[in-house]
Amino acid sequence: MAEEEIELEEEVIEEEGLREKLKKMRDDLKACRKDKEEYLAGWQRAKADFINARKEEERSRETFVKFAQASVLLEFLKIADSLEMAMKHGGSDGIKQIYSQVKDILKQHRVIEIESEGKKFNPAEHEAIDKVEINDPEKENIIIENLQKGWRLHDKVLRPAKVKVGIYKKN
Amino acid sequence: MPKILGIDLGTTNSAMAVIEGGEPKILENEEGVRTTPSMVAISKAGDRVTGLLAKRQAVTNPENTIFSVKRLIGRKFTDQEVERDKKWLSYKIRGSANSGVEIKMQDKWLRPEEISAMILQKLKKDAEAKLGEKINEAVITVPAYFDDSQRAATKAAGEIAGFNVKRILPEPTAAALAYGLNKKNDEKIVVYDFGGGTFDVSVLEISSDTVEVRAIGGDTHLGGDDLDQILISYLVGEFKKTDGIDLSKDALALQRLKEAAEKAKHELSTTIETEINIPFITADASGPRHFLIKLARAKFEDLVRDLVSKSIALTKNTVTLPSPKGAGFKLSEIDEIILVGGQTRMPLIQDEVKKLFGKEPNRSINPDEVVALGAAVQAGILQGDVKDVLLLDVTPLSLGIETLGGVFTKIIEKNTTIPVSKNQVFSTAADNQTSVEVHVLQGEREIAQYNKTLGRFILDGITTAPRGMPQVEVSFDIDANGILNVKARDKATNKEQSVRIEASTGLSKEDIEKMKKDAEAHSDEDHKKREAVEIKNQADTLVYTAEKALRDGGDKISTEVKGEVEIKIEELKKIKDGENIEEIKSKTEELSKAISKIGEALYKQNQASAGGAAGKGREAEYEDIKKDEGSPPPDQDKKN
Repeated sequence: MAEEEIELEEEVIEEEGLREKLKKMRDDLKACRKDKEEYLAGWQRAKADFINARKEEERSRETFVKFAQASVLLEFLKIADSLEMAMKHGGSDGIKQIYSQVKDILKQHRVIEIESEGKKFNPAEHEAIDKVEINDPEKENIIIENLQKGWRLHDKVLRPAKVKVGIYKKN
Repeated sequence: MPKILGIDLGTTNSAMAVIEGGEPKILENEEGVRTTPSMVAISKAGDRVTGLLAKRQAVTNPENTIFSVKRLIGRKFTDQEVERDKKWLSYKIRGSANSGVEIKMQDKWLRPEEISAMILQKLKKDAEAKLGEKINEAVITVPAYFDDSQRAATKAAGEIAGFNVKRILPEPTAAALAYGLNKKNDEKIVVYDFGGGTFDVSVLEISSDTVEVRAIGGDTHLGGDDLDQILISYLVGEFKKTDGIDLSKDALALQRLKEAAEKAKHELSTTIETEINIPFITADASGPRHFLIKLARAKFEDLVRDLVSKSIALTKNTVTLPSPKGAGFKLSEIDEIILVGGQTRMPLIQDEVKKLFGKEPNRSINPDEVVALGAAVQAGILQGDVKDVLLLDVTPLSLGIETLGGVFTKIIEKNTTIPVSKNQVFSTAADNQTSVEVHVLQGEREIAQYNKTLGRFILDGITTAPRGMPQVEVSFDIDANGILNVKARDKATNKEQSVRIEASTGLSKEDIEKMKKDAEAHSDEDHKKREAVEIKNQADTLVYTAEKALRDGGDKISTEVKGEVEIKIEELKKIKDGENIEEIKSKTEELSKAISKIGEALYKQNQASAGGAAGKGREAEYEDIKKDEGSPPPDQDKKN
């Protein structure tokens, strides 16, 4: 009997030691799992960031190629404006010819005029710089005068048209 | 872990940014612009429009176009500021039941936070479209002088827009974060923020990771727009003097003048004189009139000097006056000055600020974007970005191997983020060469011997073949700990050898700097040497190719051509190991021309057997040699 008891006690001690060991291992595992999740999340995010950055880069390159000339064309429009004004003031044959040359260049570069006069005012294409009171309710929010032409490049507005918009006022 | 959006909700313009790959980055809006006007309107058609589109329709719809709502948010209707602003706002406002402000937009009375929410909603939508993911959290900046009620109202605006607002951040603190100044200790910082419509100056003190706002000052009605206005008035006045016509009455003329004035203002930040040229600006009975004026930077500075001086005086007071009016610091105690707001690009402002503090202000980050970028930095800290767990290092110096003629061929360029692996295929330099030596080096010099040797090994057992035929793939792999593994593999036999180098990044900072400087100092001389080696290699290859072509072509080549090629080969052989590079170059060219005389039919036959080298143009050939030629350094060459 006595011997058996001693053996049992030893078993208990051993078991307790194991239990402690087990607990430590469980804790370690828990910490490892937490680390793992953290690292995995970080890794996934970094990878996603990379893929997204690459997609974004591709997209912006496409847009860049398409609109690389936009800033130059925008400046160039100023010449078109001036020539247009000159035409209004009875430009000479020479001016007329230069103007038609400029229009050709714009056309070649897919710069297309935005229609304005008589159209409904739309801030996506038009910029209102003046308004005029009118007594015809039909003309409310309609473009009465196109002060400066607007232009579109591909599907984007290169420069909105500067317009005068009708505001209905009862007499 | 979705992203947190950093938002600079400005009085006139707003901007947004996120952390991407550990760095803050501005996001463009739907229109492709980096800033968005802080404007909202209900259009005549009944649609809600925000940003640029709201701005474009403002003239037709002033009573329903809401701008500068930041001036009203969180304020009481009876506030002095509100009283003052009420007079010039084009829309209607009134006191609300809880003594706040309400804004009339068509038939509804809305709180300022509801209007701000519309701007935030647009930013949210545009950011989500750009990033392709939902964004639910935000850091929003406010002026340092905003009180609890204004901050709470801004937070409410964010919540109405659908954000969980993680932090309301003072704008000057955001600017300091963008410059990484929060990492400094015990620093005193002044943020000089000259925006479109407001001027703010803040004094910050940084101690053990906290940023404290010590004093604030400024003028809520002083901004870049005032400078524009002064310039436009001057231009209108000048035209009236010369032409007797008042342009301010003509909407299109005034608009064109405004645009030209803004452009002139920008140009004068970099040039000392600009020309404002607007043909056909107007017309009278006598015909069309043109606007043409030269504007010097000095003249513009004279026009706006009072406004700039005012901002400088306000800055001085905010720093030096005792609390509560100022921070009570000496000007000389200020460690850093940060410039915020587009107007700070003006050289006069930069000079005046520099004069006041006696030191150069920080202005390397775009002053229109610095606050939004700082908000994103704060967002990054809150979301515990990847950066904290994963500190990615870079290779301080280039890594590569020695190739034919003692040239250093880089495989991994310096400043490459690690972990990384790269490989390149090399070949043999002699016929029947059975082994190559891989000499691994680190450094920036183009000549191998001047760089640091990291290790070397020999890959043998390469199947005997004419030079240039075997393919040896050399791969470099650096893991996150900076340990470099170099492997060479014969593609035909799959036989491989490798070396592991632990100390590839173990150089001290001084060593690295020294090596970089060294490379810079010797760059011309090294380049010449490398070029010489390449020309010699090229000559060598061409002799080999020509001899092979003659052998392979045999009788099919006319004796005349054969004779000529043989002479040219002999001429080149005599000099190719010498030092007269120009002569080698010209003789190589002559030989190249002679080879090309071998008839086209033959050329085609030969192309297959001569490995293509003889057939290609000079430039292509040059490239070929550079890429494919040459693992073994000269000694190895002779051994085999």
